[in-house]
Amino acid sequence: MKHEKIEDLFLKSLEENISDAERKELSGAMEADEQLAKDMSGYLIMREEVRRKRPATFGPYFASRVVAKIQNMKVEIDKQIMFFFRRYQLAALGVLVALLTINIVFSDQLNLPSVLGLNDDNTADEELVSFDFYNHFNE
Amino acid sequence: MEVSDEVLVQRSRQGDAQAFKELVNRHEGKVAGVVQSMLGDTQETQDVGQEVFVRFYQALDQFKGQSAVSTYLIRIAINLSLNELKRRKKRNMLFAKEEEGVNTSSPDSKNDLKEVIVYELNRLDPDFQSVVTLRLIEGYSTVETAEILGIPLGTVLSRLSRAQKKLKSVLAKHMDL
Repeated sequence: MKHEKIEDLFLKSLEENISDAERKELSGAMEADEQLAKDMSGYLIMREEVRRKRPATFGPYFASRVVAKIQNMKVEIDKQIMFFFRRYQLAALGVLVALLTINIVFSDQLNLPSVLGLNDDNTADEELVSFDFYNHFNE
Repeated sequence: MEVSDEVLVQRSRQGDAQAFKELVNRHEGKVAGVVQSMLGDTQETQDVGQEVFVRFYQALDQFKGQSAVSTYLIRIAINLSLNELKRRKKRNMLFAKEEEGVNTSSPDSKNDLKEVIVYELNRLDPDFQSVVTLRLIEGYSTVETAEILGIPLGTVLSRLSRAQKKLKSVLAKHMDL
């Protein structure tokens, strides 16, 4: 139990300031028990070993690979957008053909401008003839 | 004079690929250290490493510079590594027998202490592993570790303490502790 308490105190001392009383308790316990002191110094050795590391790298040309991936990703997104709209292309074409067909069926004249709705509008203000309902129905 | 990270971020936002490349070169080592500590030296490590910088690139507009670029990157690296560990755990549960001999096997050469340490580190609970990686390996303070992981300082201290006890007990077989 005491070993565990001292162990906790020792690990705490490695991370933060401990009080004078705690420091005294820790050093007293370690002076009194050689094995305990050895155990605690084991933590220091372990931390030193864990900290000692090889320089880390993702290998040569890593930055170039990242930039290439980002650029490819943009192309991929563009493709996805194209694919998204492609799904609606057939439906849009169908609607267009249907509208043209309706226009052809119901048009008075069968020429290209009228079918495509490109005829001049003959209802300009100056061409409108006034219509007098009163006179018309009383004639 | 070296161009600051902030300037490189600004240029990257404007589409300067060279500036972003410089940022990657500058922070690759730190990110690699974290990802390799978390995942070991595997193919996924490379993928996660690339993903860290891709995510950073995608978040450039949201990056306000409240924390240093390196801290921001380490945060992404830790999160992606934890996700990868979760995926790995699921995979291992599904294909336990097949995967046993791949990544989870004990290092052949007990003489290479570094390998043993990485192996034992990877066997820790991911939450403990991230704390050990940031505090003991990368040398962040406990306060910085708490900030990066988004957990209270007390949690960092208790996880660190428990992780060290566990590590010491397993490493004692390989070194004089």
